[in-house]
Amino acid sequence: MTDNMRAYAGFKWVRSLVGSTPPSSIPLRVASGYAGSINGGSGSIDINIGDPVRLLSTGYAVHAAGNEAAANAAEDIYGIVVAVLPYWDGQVKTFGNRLPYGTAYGSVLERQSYVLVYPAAGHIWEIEVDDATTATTEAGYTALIGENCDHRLTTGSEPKTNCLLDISTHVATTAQWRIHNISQSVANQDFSGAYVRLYVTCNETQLAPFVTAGI
Amino acid sequence: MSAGVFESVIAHALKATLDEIIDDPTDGYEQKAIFPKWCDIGKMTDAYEDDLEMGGPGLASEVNEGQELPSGTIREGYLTRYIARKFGLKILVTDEAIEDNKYPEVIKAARRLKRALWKTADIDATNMLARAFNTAYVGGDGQPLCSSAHTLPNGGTFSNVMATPMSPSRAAFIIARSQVMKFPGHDGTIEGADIEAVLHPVEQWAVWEGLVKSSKAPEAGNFNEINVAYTHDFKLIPIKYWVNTTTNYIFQTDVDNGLQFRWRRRPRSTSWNENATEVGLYGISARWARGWSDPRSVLGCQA
Repeated sequence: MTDNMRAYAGFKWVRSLVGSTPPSSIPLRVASGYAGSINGGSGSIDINIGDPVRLLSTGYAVHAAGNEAAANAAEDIYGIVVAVLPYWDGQVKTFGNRLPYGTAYGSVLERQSYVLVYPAAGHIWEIEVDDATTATTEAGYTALIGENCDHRLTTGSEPKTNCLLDISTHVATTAQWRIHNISQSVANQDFSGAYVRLYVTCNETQLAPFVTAGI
Repeated sequence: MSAGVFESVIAHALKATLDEIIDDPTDGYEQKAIFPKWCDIGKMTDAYEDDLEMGGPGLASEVNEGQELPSGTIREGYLTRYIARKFGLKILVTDEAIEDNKYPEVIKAARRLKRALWKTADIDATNMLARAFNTAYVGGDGQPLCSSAHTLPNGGTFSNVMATPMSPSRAAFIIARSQVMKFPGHDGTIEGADIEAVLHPVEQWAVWEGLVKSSKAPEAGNFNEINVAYTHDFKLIPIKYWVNTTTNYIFQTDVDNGLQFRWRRRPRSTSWNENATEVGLYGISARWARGWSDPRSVLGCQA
């Protein structure tokens, strides 16, 4: 048994559920000084490409928490971050591959932080699982197809969410993601190892018409 | 990358301020591939190909004077079907990223894709070894590559695994070669083969090199005896993508129709534009089948 090769973190867009056209990106605002509200509110976590985010009633996007925190577990997801627009670093607007936590722009809207997201719903996403015990064979993972799972955001030594699928949460009842299939990547070399990749579709999303209530 | 190459993905390449781009090599990946060293590389011309095992008639009988000759026959064994599978990948790059990127070597989507696909082919081929003892991944006879119950056309089975797993050693080679030299033919009688190479995870490189490059037996207290692993001179093929074990290894024999890698279509690159979102898309795909038709081509050790 060995862990499978890792090539990226977070959710990776695979393809649309219908059609073959890449989705149109959606800009979402991020509040001034946002510090990364994972693990039940604490954080100091950047917004990274591949992170799941949700929309607040304020109109700003924040991380969509997963199963890592009982306080705000399994929040509905709006989209997955695919890019970060230039952000205010205190002197100029800077290009970066992540939005650093605590990026503050005050009330100057010209300096406002934006991330670009692909809508979570309607697409197939690839994500690595977070343990090597819930399923240990291809047949074991096959049996999970059609069930639901939450994701999990964890902090590491870097300000990244290290988002994984919390595979031990698999249930037939409601959860954030529907296990759509086993990823067909050959990176899934050893199903008894960690970081097996699965295809998922979003099950709990903020997008209309999946949720008809307003945010 | 989550979805594609946006400007923020290559943020540091938007101005010419860098000295070096530190990245994986993309040159010559076709030549660097390992699987051609241990797979028979072929071509397919159809959606699938079938290899059929035939056996018989076995041995002749003693016949008395004036007695009719006894009849023998031949028999079909298992069918191995090679179905071409398609592998592919695309990279999406926004027009803005292409326009503003100052370093061609940062994006080089086509070269990255080519590297990815050749590496995929290598890993997919290696999965035959990584799953060689796994009954969930079988060949035409319903057995994994290395099994103690491979079928014979006329009934019965044979083994191409070492009965007693052994770490790499001269003794292991002696026992393995003896077993290979008595492999049954497709008619069930002893046919025999010989060892040509050992396929092993890279972690075993030192023990195998020490074993095959010593002219005398490498065991302490036995240095006057010739080293049969040296005199036999078989190839060592370390396989870096074989990562699910550090202890298994597989001897490859001179039996034909062993581990196969058959191209239906070699890697083909393509690119197109999505005008509505103004993104460029670079794609690559290939079709191949891999497997084995005759498990006598290997002897496995699950140490």
